[in-house]
Amino acid sequence: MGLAWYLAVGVLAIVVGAALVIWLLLHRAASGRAQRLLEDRLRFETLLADLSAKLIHIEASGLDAALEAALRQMVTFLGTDRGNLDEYRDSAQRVRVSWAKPGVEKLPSILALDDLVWTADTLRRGAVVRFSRTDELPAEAAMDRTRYERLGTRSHLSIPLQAGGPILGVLSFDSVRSERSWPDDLVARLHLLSEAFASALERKRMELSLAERLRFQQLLSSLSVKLSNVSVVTLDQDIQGALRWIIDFLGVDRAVLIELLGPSGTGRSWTVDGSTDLARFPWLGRRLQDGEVVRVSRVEELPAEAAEDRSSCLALGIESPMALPLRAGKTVVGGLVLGTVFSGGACRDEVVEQLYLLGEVVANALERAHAEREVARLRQELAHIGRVSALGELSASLAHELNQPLTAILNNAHVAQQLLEADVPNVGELREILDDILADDQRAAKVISRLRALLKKGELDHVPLDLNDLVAEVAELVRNDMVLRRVPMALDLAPGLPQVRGDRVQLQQVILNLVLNGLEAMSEPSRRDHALVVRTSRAAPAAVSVAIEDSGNGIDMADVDRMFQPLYTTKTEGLGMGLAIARTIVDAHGGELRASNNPEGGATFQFSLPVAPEGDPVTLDLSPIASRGMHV
Amino acid sequence: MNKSLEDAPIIAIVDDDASVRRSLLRVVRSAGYNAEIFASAREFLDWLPRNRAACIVLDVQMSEMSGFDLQERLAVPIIFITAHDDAPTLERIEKSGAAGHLRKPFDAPTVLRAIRQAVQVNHDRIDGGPRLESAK
Repeated sequence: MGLAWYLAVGVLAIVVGAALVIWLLLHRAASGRAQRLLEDRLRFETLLADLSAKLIHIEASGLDAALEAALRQMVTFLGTDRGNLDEYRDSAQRVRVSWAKPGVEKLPSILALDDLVWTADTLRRGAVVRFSRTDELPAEAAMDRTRYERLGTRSHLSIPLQAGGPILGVLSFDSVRSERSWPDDLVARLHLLSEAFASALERKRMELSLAERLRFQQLLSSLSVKLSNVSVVTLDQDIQGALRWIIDFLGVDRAVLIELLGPSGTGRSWTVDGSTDLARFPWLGRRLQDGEVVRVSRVEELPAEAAEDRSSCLALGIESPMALPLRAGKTVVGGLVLGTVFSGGACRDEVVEQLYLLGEVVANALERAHAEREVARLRQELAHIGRVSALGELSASLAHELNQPLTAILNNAHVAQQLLEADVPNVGELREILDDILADDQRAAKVISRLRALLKKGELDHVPLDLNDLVAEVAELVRNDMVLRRVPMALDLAPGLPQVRGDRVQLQQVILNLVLNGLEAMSEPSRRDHALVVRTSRAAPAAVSVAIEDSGNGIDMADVDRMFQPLYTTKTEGLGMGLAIARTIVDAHGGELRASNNPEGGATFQFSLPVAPEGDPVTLDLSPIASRGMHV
Repeated sequence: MNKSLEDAPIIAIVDDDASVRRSLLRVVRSAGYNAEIFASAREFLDWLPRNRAACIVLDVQMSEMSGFDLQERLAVPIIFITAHDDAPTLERIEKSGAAGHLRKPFDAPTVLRAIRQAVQVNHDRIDGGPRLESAK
């Protein structure tokens, strides 16, 4: 019993010891596995924390480099060959970053989704694509399989990247050298990591879009400012500047602005290099008139009837034109023809929308310039009528001026004829007579050419002028009228006045109108001490002024504003346009016309004009007329 | 008409336009008249007390003193010349009892015809006319 007990105890002790050893062994093995698992887990958590931190704090500009570094870490972590981060943009899958181990090819930067239809569909549904071997792919993924094989991919994992919205991109890993599996827990953990990538992509996208929007806002407001002050004179320059901005903003290579003039067709066109009348777009013009947007990927695709448009495009170096109508209100007033818009992708809707906005700004400027041209034309027309009517008022004195030399010529010629009939003509006297006739001819011719100058209808000049000369010329014109009206006219001209810039005839017309206005103010015959003074002076700081002082009854200051309105008159004769025309002309020259009463009686009408800057052409700003809304 | 220049009647030409003045002088002289030219009414009035004119060719529109103003002081036959006419001027000429009115531009035969007539009328008036104080 004693032995049996010992034996039993010994066996038990061995069993217990063995069990203990086994247990201990087992326990050690389990804790090693758990530890490995734990370490593994820890490594991943570290990677996750590390990558998340890196991707969150990165600037948009450094994002690509950060993404590449992150991919590299992940590929190393996973022990695979290649990692890719693809972005979905404009319906194409764009490989943003690809990192591959040395000796393994990176992916090309754009993947055509046509070859990966099944993969793309699966990813869009939010599901993961994974295979250890390409033959695990389902039958419907035959094309995808070919594609993967061509890329050298043996095992593959694609995880869709989403940040609450549509799919932003794909995080994918390839094994090229060997086959491998993608266990569920790995995929689950990678899902976690993919979120760091997704949010980085989303942030970048938003930042880009914000920057782009800001840039667009900036362009739009600069363009609005630039084009809000557009005038007929600066139109070409402003449009060229606007086109340059648009080209820079859109990254297009060419831009042409065409003016559409009603259904009759195209007007002028502009490029950044200037305006051109050679490039004509009759076919595009018609399509644009109908409000169509025309996009052609190659200019050769334009139809046969667009032959002229095609050659215009080719002449301007536009190979894939896109044309959109420019609307001012509901009217299409022009078109914007752009060269290659977006290389390698279709034009985004957002950009088309932006283009429409830009187009509207440009269209409004075109429309305004058009209206201004029309106003300027009307004004010129009106000024002409004004001159004709002013000359009508001067007709008596002009007749006088012409009839004097004519009388002398007729009489001298008669005497000369008589002298010639003599047996020995008096050559000396004949010569004198001929000299007189010639002088009178020239005198008459001068009167006629002065008349013609005032009656001429033409383009506005914009030349340096001496106001003293203009005053003297007008004084010459009205000299006889003054005699007839028995009003002496005194000129008080300041010497050495700086020049102004403007149109000689129109400024003469201003002086003439004001002088006639002054004469009419003194038309009551009772008084005999009337006098008219025309004074020029330097006005502060960079202006020259002309004052016409009469000694009439003065003006009613309550009416002073109405006085410059068209058709205002206190006279029984005349259109009442003289002062209105004078003011529009002075305004158009950047000057100012005012009326006031003299302390000693009578009124003074005074206008001042800016001194012409040396060597710097002054622009003839026609906008005040348009904004004043002259009822012409 | 006396052909001797000294005895020939003097035709006074008053016009502020030198060119017209000179051409009229030539015409009148070539027709055998004596002629004197004056640039203004004042000049003529200065000359008048020591001379006599058979007829005055007188410009209406002159600065300082017009032809009408001068006419008021004279009883010599006057041929008014005008370079333009407005209604009041025409009316005034009509009422002035002038010997003639010529509108510029006129030619030599016209002015000579007018002068001949005026001088003739003047001559007739001298015989029985009470009106011509300064022409006596």
